[in-house]
Amino acid sequence: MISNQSALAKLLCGNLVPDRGGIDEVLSHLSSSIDNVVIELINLESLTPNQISLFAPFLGRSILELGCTALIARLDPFRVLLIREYQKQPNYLDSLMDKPNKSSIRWQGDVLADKVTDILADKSLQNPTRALLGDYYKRLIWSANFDELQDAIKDVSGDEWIIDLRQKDFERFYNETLKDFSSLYSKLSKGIHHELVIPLSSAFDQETTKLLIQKTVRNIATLGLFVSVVSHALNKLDIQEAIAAYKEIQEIGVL
Amino acid sequence: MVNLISENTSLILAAEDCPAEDFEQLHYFSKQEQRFISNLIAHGPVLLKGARGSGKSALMIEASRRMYPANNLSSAFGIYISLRHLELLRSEGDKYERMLCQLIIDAVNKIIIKAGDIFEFDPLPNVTSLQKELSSLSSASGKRIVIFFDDAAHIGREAPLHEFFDIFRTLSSSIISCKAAIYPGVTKFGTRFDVYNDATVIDVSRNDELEGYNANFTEIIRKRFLMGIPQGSFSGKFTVENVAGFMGRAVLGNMRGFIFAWNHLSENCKDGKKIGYANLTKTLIDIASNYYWPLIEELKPKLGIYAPMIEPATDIAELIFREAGEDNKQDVLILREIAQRLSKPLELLEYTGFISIRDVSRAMKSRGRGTRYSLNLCTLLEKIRGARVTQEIYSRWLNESNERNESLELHKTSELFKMQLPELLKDGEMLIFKEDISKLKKSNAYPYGLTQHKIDILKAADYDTVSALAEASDKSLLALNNIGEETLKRIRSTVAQAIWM
Repeated sequence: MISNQSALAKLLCGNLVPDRGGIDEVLSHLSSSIDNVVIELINLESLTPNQISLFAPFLGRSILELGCTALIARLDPFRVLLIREYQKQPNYLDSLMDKPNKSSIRWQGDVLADKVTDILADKSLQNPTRALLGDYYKRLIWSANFDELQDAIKDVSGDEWIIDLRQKDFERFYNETLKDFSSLYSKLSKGIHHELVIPLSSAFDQETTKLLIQKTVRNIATLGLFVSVVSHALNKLDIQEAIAAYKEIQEIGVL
Repeated sequence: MVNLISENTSLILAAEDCPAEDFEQLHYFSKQEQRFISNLIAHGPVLLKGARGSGKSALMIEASRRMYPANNLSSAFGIYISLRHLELLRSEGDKYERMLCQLIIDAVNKIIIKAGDIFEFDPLPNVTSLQKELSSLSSASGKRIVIFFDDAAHIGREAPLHEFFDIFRTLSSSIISCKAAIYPGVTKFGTRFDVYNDATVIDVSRNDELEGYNANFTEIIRKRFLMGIPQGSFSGKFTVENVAGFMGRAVLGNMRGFIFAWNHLSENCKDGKKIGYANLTKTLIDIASNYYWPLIEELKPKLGIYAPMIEPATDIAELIFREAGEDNKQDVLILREIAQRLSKPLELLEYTGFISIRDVSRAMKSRGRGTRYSLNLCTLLEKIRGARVTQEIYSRWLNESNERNESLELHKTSELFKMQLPELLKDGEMLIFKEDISKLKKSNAYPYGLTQHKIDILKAADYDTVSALAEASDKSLLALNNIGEETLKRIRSTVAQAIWM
């Protein structure tokens, strides 16, 4: 347990186990990285509108990527352990100088994946997509535990996000989450890569940037809360602790 | 009596009817609503979904007020358009596109004039030309464009909806965003529009489980100078905050219902009467019979193919409220299988404010999962033994002990399970158009309706049906004896109430 862990890091990385290797080391690293980004997100408020337009998309995408990596590590540690092993090689950074990095968590493939209409159609079950929001996860993790989540939060009052969550059925929840993750990643990336040929201040004005960051934090935090009811998740938080962290994230607010 | 309520600005029930100069004075937005407004101002498509009187128009108007040109510092144009146009309702295909585009063009031109007439904007009334010109406007001004479509989608008026959402989707780009107000029960968005993929849906409802519920309703009342109730009428446990919270809960947080109920309470507290259980009881019971049930009556001729669903909706309401009243429950948990089958009449009850959804999927004691709805306390009080607000009811409904009461559970053994739904109508035309104008006479359904004298004048001039009256020009109506500007305004607002939701 790390006392100064932010509520968001806690919800996404769970109860950390210090001084251990393997996946615990990965989660500890991700947790402190999330903490660092959260500090910068909170500081955004003191920046000028131009600075916010420039930095907020980077911080938002960092949260999205770190959060998804942490959730993948807790639900499916094999992939993250393999990447860790690969990245530990002494010449890892040098070997990547001139090629795309395949030995890391990839947005398309590890978080999003192509649609699989019938997940059991391939009888050999070779290489099913293990993307966090792919169709296998949809059926085996998210849909299978949605009622569990609803039961865990049914009597929580005074929490706007939870009240909202209770008004969604699984299909709405999943479709909205999928759409948000996909569009947030794409929009935040546009802010980082400067691919827009119209003035940045118009496309990433304060209201829009604020909303992007808030949606990013809310979406990733909601999956963090959800993971707290998945029985096989690593470093599981007690659900009451997870609900308290979820509320704390809303109260801290960003921007 | 509701009918005797005088008309002044504090009693304006609909934000879209509020004079611009009074808007700020009469409106208050909670923290949650401020977030909704931020969503409306930011870039990206949004559907604002809520029951009648839930405050959708006020949110859109407020968002546009915070944008350019009303706010010079804003980086986006805010263009508010009400889609309450009879011709639009009766058009399809190219005609619909032309009319909607023309409405947008007119609204943008008005905004440009407000901005000092410094931008060129001259599109043809079609989506391609409009989008191109809006992009040029954005480029010339360095500002995004946000278009607010109020009253965009109604239950029972599906014909032009797929066209509307096609245009909504096509117009949206990296610099143009569309925001539309829709009602519960709107389920057909056309084949090209995927509601949860092509827009963010915001449910506008005031849930009493949120913090600051009583305080928010108190602020609304204070903004309107307590709406005629002297401060001295509040004493003991009946503080302004408690009473405002109680009345807010009684109408399930519906803003129009709340203003209506508070007006009523002020009528019941005249002559220095203190607020107590007796006048709270009288207010709630009167609202049940003068507001909620007439809403159902008013709705039927507007529902197009869904008109036959009014009867089952009424039966369901009778059953739920009777059983909940007998059992002292404030909310009902309906087995999902039943709730899904009866979705349309339940949506009508949501639309009219009888019920409000709280949990989509909740475990039932009697096994299975159900959908939980909160019940409005006015109709509920009618069915409770004694039909009066007591100390115990007042405290419980204010949730002073912060304990959740168990819900009434309706399972397969309930009469709801056996309830059959009628066939939908084949013809989707709204029955209200064919109705005789005597329907618009002042009544519980039309508290600001027409007098018999005015109806006689209109009939003598051959304005026999609501449709004929709706299509009449201002000039031809003002040419009639005894129809002046004030009467014309009343005719227009009564016809609008009859046709629009």
